[in-house]
Amino acid sequence: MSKSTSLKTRWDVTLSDYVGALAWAPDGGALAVACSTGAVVVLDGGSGKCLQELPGTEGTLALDWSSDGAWLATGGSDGTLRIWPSGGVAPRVILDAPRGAWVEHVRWAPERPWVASAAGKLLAIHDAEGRVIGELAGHASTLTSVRWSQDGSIVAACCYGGVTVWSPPAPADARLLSWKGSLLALELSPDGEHVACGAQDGAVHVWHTRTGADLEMSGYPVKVRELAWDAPSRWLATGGSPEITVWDFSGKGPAGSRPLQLQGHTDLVADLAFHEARAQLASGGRDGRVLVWSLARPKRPSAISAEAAAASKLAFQPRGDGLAAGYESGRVRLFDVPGWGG
Amino acid sequence: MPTNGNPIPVTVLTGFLGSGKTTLLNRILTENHGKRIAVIENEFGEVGVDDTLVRQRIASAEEVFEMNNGCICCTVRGDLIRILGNLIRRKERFDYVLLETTGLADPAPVAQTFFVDEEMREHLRLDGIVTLVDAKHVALHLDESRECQEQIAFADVVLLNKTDLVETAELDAVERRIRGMNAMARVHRTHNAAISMDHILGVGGFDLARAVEVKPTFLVAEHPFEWAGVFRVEPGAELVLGPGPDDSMIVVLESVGDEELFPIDARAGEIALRFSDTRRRADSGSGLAPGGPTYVLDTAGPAEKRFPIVVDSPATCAIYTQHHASEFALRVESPSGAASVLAERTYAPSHEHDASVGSVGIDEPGSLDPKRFNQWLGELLRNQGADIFRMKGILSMKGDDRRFVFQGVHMLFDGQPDRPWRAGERRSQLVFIGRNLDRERLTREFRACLA
Repeated sequence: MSKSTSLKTRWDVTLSDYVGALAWAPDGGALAVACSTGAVVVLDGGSGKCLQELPGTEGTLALDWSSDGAWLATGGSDGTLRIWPSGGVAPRVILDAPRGAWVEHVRWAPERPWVASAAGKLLAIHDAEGRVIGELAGHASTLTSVRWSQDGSIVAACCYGGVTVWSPPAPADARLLSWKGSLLALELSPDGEHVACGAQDGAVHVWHTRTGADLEMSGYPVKVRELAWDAPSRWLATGGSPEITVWDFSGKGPAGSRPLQLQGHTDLVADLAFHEARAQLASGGRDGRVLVWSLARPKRPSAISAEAAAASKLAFQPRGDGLAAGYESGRVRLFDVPGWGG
Repeated sequence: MPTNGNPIPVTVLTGFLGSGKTTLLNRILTENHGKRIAVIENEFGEVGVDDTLVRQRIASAEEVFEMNNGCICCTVRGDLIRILGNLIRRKERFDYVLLETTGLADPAPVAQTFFVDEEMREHLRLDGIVTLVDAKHVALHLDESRECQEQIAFADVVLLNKTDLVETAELDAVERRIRGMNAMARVHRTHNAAISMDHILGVGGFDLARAVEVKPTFLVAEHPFEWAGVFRVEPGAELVLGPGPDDSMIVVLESVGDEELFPIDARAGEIALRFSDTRRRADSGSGLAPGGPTYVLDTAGPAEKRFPIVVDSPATCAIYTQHHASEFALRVESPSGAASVLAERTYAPSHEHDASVGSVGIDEPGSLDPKRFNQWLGELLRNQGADIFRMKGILSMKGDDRRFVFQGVHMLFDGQPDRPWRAGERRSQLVFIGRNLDRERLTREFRACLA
């Protein structure tokens, strides 16, 4: 069995504060970073050099690049959604959320320039000019996550009370997968078959998107906010513990099966990310470790980086071999993550 | 980041609309008190703010999340987890977090949030619940509202505000009622919510001695009398009562020799029994004999009533009264002038509006068997957790030379060893506040856990 290697750092910068959100431009050339205080910073993907700061974006909670790379959307505790032309120093539009609600989630659709944003109980879709495409109100509580399906036909959002699955723009084309519990995070499987949610009460709840059939995996030590699907939609990696639990959705699915359990962190997992093509999983922990796993060899991580400050966010660089890691200290590092034959 | 530091203490501010929360918040926001406070508010007022403060508004409605397991004791406030979760990510450190709730907020999910959610537990610590009450209207709110009762029952500190709007006697009555429900809380009387920050921030320490001091009856059973006073009585002395809240009042008089001290508490149990004896009606002017029957004094009408106290020679006389003396402006007048009160006690009334919400204090020397105690507490909380609002205590555990300090909300509790016991200090003290608490049973079962 091969030993774990050390992750090599390509670049390393320190920003103002806790890294709360990371988003890569789709070509991997730029990384946008939101810290809990201070403006959003855009870093050069190759060197880590600061390309620009976006003025007026203090308190940004969420950010995302459009699939064509032309737009960057930011949302924050100032109750605004801002849409920036890529590289621009002024937003194209600033949209106010109703009643000053925090804009906590933003996601661009694949294929077309529509951005879904969640502020309070309202899920809204705008185009890049800020025109409303569709709105879905009436959620039971504040939305905690928003995701598009890979084909862009469905947007799913969760909150306390269940998951809304919506084919925008008509509000009539939405249905609720109801659940009496507080759902904190949501990830749609890339094939669109499943929607997985992490819950406050230490559980992961999964629905079959078409039939609405559901199953629950419970017994996590703490609330589950860390979820990631691999590209073929076979593996669902989950946090809520220092141990990473990976469920296998191939064959009959995970019900009654034994998941993989990845042991390498000594404190809670803070974020999980799968590589866009490889069966390679990255995990960041409160213990300051960033680990890269090959699921074919789950006994130990293939590569390790240890750091004093807790890791907070991870994002694989698109079209490259880089893994960006954000830390609670405000540090951002780009690790070199080759294939290691995994 | 507070990750490597101690958890930040959180003060929760509750109180009905009109109780003065906004006034208090504005004071905190504008007064120069030198503390770094993050203030979480429902609505922003129009005040300029000191730059050492951080304010966050609760932009969403309160969101009470029940867990899928259906346990009401695990309900948390999702909106607070989001807001506080965002706050604790900031690099700057705060000395305190002050969290305002809406007037009708149920304090339980707010408090439970700090016990149930791992992230909150790690970074924040519920220090205290401060409840503001409007002295003029609180009696009405207590009669009509479960939320108001619970806000008082959960409190570590009660600010009896708007004291300028009510008479002293009424304030005394309101304060007694509040203490009857929650013997653990410190009660401060305020006007325009003027209070030193030290009285509302960093108040979490449990001190049973203080609870006993503010309410001597805390550790004893409820009595049919609310008050007892000791006077030096000469022949010719009279008991004088003004008009009060009731048309009559039951009293028992007892005496000992002139120079002796009267053991008020030691005789309370025996005197309590006499309150259920046959009673003799006494109109103004009728004589009252110490050691005599149980009297029902006529207090109807607006006129002052005078009852001669029948003694042959000067004596030390104790008077046990059904209602608190201040409610009838009770006094003793001797031929040589008004007699001063040599000693007095206030007792927990046995039948009040809020009789179902109350406190039980336990204070026992000796050490607990940890296993038996955990088993008992676990079972108690499983069966009665919904009725137990709060618990606090300092326990002596067998085999550990440190104090075990704990607090709890409903079925949740959190405790850890504290400093070592000092010589002669070792004992276990705890208090329960809740509905329908059975003092005798709690005490008996607790004693059974002693090693």
